[in-house]
Amino acid sequence: MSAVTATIPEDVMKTVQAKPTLRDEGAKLGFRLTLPAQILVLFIAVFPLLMQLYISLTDWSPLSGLGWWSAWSLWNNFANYTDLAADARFWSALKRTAIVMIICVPAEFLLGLALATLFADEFPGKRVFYSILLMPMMVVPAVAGYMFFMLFQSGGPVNDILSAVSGFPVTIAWLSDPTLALIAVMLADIWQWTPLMFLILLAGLVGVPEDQIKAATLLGANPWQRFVTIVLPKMKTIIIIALAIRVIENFKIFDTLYIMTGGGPGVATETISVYIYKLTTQDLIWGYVAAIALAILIVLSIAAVFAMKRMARTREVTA
Amino acid sequence: MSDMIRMSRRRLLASGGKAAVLVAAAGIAPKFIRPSRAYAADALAPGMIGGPTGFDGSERYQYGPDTPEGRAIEAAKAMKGAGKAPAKIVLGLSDGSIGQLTQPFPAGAPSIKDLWEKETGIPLEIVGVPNGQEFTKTMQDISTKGGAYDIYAVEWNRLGDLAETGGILKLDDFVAQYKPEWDDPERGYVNGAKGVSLLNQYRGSTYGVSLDGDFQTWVYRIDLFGAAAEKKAFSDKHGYELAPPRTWKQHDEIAAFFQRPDKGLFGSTDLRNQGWGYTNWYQRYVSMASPNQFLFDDTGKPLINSEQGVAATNEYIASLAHHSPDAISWGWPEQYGNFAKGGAAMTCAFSNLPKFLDNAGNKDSAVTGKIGSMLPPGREIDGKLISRSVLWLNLSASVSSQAKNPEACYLFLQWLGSSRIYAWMTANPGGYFDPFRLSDFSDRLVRQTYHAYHMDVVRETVARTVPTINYPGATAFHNALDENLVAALTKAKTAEQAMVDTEAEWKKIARRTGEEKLLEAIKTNKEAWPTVLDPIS
Repeated sequence: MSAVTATIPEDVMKTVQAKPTLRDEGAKLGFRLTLPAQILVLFIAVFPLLMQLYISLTDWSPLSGLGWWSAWSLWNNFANYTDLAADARFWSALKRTAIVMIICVPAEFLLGLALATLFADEFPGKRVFYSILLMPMMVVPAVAGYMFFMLFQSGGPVNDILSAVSGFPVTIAWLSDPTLALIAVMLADIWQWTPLMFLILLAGLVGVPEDQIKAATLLGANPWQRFVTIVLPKMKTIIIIALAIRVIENFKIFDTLYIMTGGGPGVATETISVYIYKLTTQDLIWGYVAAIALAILIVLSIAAVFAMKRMARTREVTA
Repeated sequence: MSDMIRMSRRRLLASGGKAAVLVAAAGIAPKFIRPSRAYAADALAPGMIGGPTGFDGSERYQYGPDTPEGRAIEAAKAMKGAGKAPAKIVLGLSDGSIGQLTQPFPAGAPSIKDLWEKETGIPLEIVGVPNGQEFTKTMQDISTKGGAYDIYAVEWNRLGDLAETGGILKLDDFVAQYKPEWDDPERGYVNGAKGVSLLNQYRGSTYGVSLDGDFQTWVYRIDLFGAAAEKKAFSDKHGYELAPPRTWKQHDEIAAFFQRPDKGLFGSTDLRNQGWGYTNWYQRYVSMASPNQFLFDDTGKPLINSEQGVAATNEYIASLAHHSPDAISWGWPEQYGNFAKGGAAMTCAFSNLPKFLDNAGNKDSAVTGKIGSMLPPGREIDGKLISRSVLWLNLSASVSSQAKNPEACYLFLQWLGSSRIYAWMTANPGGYFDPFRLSDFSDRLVRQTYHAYHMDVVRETVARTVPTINYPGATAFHNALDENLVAALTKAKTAEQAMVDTEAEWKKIARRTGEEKLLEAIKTNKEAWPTVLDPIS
């Protein structure tokens, strides 16, 4: 059999190609319908970002007596960015934020997981303990800060307990010592947010299929093996969510810390949020604050992209 | 202010302050409950057009038509009559000060608020602002164009910052028209026109009306200083008489002598915390030269990174040895509470400390009848004693650029800040506004509330008081100094490094603020510094 070929004239071909498909029509209609919303989103998201970039290149502040649109007259040749690169206080605040995060989040996770494991089974008084355990999370962070401020006074309950235990008077000035103040702040954060970890992980734990656990038990797996090979993999997504929530929240740690120490003594407990807050509301150097905020946004965006890529790769491998 | 406060420390400050105020009010008010001696229930003295009535001596606070109060009231009445008055005036005011405007004092008297409303027909709405957050709230209102207040009341040294924002109005025209007589030699501000310039003006124009007298004042325990055993032990050890210290060297020796933490007594508890402590560093620093060791020279160059700056910082650090172990986290509620318990031999605080603590009505105070006042310690230079205090916090009121009727707001402030009404208000133990006018120091009611022994010393302290920074960027300048000083206190930095870093920060702030603007403000600020030199005796 010979192949029959037909030549389609070029002009016909063009007409066929140019004729909009139904899909194209739908896309255009969709675009037109969503255009107002897209413009609004663009305005809400992009305009402030551009404005921030513009302000960050100037020495503008509310003290300048100029409207932000006139900030160009205070152009400072990228001085905010060179200042930022050499700002030891900024870098130490960033480092401190990372330290708090690296210590608090794993501590909250491990404690939360341990408690969730305990609460996965029934036991007498479970409901009561459950309510008690969730209470710190319900305390307003400012109140929690004040509570811990009082607890850690040199004549406060913490030292009283230590005195009773050790048998000699303990008068540690917790909040006046740079290292101890940071420890006190981290203890407050762990106390307040472990319950959230516990709650999320408990939800994940009770969602693990019971039949798989039973099957593993029948096959002779011990509790640790069951936990590592079945429970943890099944909880992977919820663990990532829990950790992500706490990492993001912890990066923004403010209320409790500010009330306990105000970032002090000196700047010994100053995290990035506290530093930015002080510069914004007290020093009023908004051009510089804009530069800091942009720098942080860029760093966090890069970190988020890397994290998401890694998660996507993990999912592909798992699939 | 720092902080309060920072604070929450701020909450502690507010609640502690309120408690002290209530206790004090309960204790002092009965002194004045003498209805039988009231001047006349509802009558003004002959020739008077307004003022409080209903208590003994109320005529002292009444005013005729040709007085600052009278002119303000008449103009406000005329405005009301012409239908041009605002529906209300909204005053944003620290929580701790509201009582002095809303609580009648003494018994039988109206409150300040009631009197204003009765005489002018213009309602006054007072919106509480948390102590320590006055500037933040004000800046929020200005930058968001919120228009929540017609009048702001913030620390006096923020006037420069607020004026530069354009958020408060220049009041020069109103001042010229209504003549507040702030520089009156009998009833006006201490140091006359210089005092007015310091408290109410920025770069030569009036932007505020002072409503406070936060000249930091030193007090000591007369029972400890007067105890024969203590006197003997001290003179045996140091070779001179135990008495209120005249120099910083004496102060530090006396403080060390009384430092007995095991007995619940600290030598000297002038604050060392963030937000407040640096004002006590100021006192040591500015007395390092005659007549003053300035913060900046005439070209705007910072002078703190110097031999004097390092020496003052080293002294400041060493002074922790005769303080509470919690010194770095103590705010003034802890300071007042400790002094009330008899926990300190000396301290430096607002001038209201004896009002609250040397007070028979305050059952929580163990030092009633045991407090004495003294001038700030100083230094001997060229055969004279340089003794300096510092003006710190001190609320000033300003008219918002968003005020519906700026003139009515100014008239209210002129009336409130004038000698008769202010003396009557500051005598009221229901709040934090302290005496600062010449007429306050001699006023009978004020002297009863604050104690005569204290008022005389406060007046002399005012004459030796240096202003804190009040240039644009004041908060940033202070924060840089404050944070570096705390770093030095906590041994995170050496005194030398703290001064180097502060200087670097200050230069950066100056660049951002604008050097030209600063130079003018520095020059004006310097003109208000004291020149009093005391004899060495």
